[in-house]
Amino acid sequence: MSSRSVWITGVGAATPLGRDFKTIGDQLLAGHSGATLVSDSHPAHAQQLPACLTPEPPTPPGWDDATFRGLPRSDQFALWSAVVALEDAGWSAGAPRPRMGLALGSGGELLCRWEADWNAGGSEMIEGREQAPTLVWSLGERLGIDGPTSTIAAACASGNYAIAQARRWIELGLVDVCLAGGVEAISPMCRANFNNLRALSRRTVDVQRASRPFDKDRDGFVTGEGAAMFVLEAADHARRRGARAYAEVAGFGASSDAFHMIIPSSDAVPAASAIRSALADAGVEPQEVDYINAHATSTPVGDPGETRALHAVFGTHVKSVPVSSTKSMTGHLLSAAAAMEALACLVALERQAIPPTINLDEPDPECDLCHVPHHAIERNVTIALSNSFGFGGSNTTLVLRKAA
Amino acid sequence: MPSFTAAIDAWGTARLGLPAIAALRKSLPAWVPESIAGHFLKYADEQTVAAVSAIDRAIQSHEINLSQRCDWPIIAAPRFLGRIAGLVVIRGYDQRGPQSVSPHIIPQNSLHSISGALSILLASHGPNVGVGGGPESLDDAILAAFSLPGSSAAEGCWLVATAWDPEPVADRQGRFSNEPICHACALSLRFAARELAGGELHFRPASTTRREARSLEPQMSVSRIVSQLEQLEAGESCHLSWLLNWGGEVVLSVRAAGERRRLAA
Repeated sequence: MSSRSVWITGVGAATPLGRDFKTIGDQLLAGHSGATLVSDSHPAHAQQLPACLTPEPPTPPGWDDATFRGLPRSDQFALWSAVVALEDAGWSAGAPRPRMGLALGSGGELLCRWEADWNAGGSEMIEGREQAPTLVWSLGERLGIDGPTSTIAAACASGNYAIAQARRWIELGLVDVCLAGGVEAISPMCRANFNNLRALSRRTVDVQRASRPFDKDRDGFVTGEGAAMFVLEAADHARRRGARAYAEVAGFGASSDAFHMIIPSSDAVPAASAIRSALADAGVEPQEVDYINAHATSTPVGDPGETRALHAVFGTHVKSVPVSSTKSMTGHLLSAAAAMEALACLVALERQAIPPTINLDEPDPECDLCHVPHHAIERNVTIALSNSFGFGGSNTTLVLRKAA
Repeated sequence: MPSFTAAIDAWGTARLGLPAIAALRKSLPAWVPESIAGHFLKYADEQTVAAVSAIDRAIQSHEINLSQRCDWPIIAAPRFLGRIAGLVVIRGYDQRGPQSVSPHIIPQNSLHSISGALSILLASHGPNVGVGGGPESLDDAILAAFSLPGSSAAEGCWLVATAWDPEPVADRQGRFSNEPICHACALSLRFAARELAGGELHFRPASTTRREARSLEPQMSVSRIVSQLEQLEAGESCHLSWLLNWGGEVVLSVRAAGERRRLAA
């Protein structure tokens, strides 16, 4: 167990379901899907796919509109979310602040940025610039971050790593406060990549039913995009200033499959190891967990694999711990997925209700869990666990606990 | 403010042009598990191939037993990974549409790709992450080595940094106008070494930051570390120190073989 408790004291987000904590919570608990049909037109071949898009967020108060609108979409998502999170935590721009860090989960920003630049006639990709700033650098400069800033990537598990990294920096005393989260902006090339990988749902009719984790008829994931950012703060520091605590970041565990660059291992041991490590880090027994936000992306291979890992850790208790996949509503936000799902856990902790897995009409027998199909349920939630796994065999688990 | 020290008990470097990288894609080092297909590196980014080569040098020259490191975290810090593959795919999309996009581009050319590949090749079940991605990659890697979450049970970690120097320069038709060289250095770090190791990595964070000192031109580069580590073979010790953008100092020291023998005596 860690020695210094770390709380989440601010939340900001730009997601397919909204861009403030209350709206996103309402949407998640109402079981709304953010999916639409997206057409990527091209003279050679048009591509139509279900996707959960995030509209460009408004210009944050106090920021120049033209400057903000000129930023890449990923930067807009991240900057909006970070500014809102800081305001929410009471660390407004211009106010005296303690030393602050920034840990950002972001894995595919360069390809996305180069694609946008190329399509605009730019030459960043071919010029060989050595000093082109990354998103985290630009964000840190814009926000006046004076502590460490870092991008951390483990594909779809990136956001969990970023949150845990921020917690670790606070524990080590490197910072008192740290922004952390994940961001993803999906481009046509990105959609084409996953489509050609045959990882995406091909349902182009009734697209809000395309993302169906754990369902017998699932056929792939639906891409999502956006950002979720959190302000993490040492609990003693937050208590002294009377800050609101959304939750304690209580535990984190990570492992690697060491199996395949894309396909998750059929061996449940590595993923189970990450879950066990997170529970041990939090000092929590499996039977104390009130809610599991599953990684479950709606792919044929991934969902049963995660089910096996949950069975291995929770044993017979797996039949009574509610499990849902909010990707059924948000789509798969890739680098931002874990942060989005940490936000869903905060909703569960605050509202004492568990968001559902929509479209779960007939659970796959290989995914025999205590599902929350279609509709949210009321439940006392003190401890929530969020799994996020990613390409490269990364397995991560985050444990969030209602702050005492 | 705490300070951090790790022993460096193995290191390896690579400095590769495009023809050398193409040749290295065709086979895997002897220590890779037999279950891994021989064409594993076929679609890997050039920086992944260089990282594998640097790790191979570290393993071979320091007689490392990988079975004792099956839970070691792997931290990989590339700079502008995916530039060459990205150019091919983005041009292809432009000309031929979405069907032309390689399914390998995101799995193999994203920030996580080097660490993911190394975890498979090294059969390590510890955490694997990519950090940085841009000019500040190396500094991010040093910070991550001493603060990576989920790694407290491991005795050490692999730290790999890669970068082109010079970066590839091309025209819009994808023709290169220079001869880029990919550099990679791999360090095996032990956090609680009791014996004299080959070197040390020290990290002393500063308690305050001068924001005006931040620069997109870091004080240290992968190519400079590679050059210094290569000098060890000529009997010269490696001693490098630099300041981080956000405050703090890094000192990397590796003793030449003669000095190690003298100290051991």
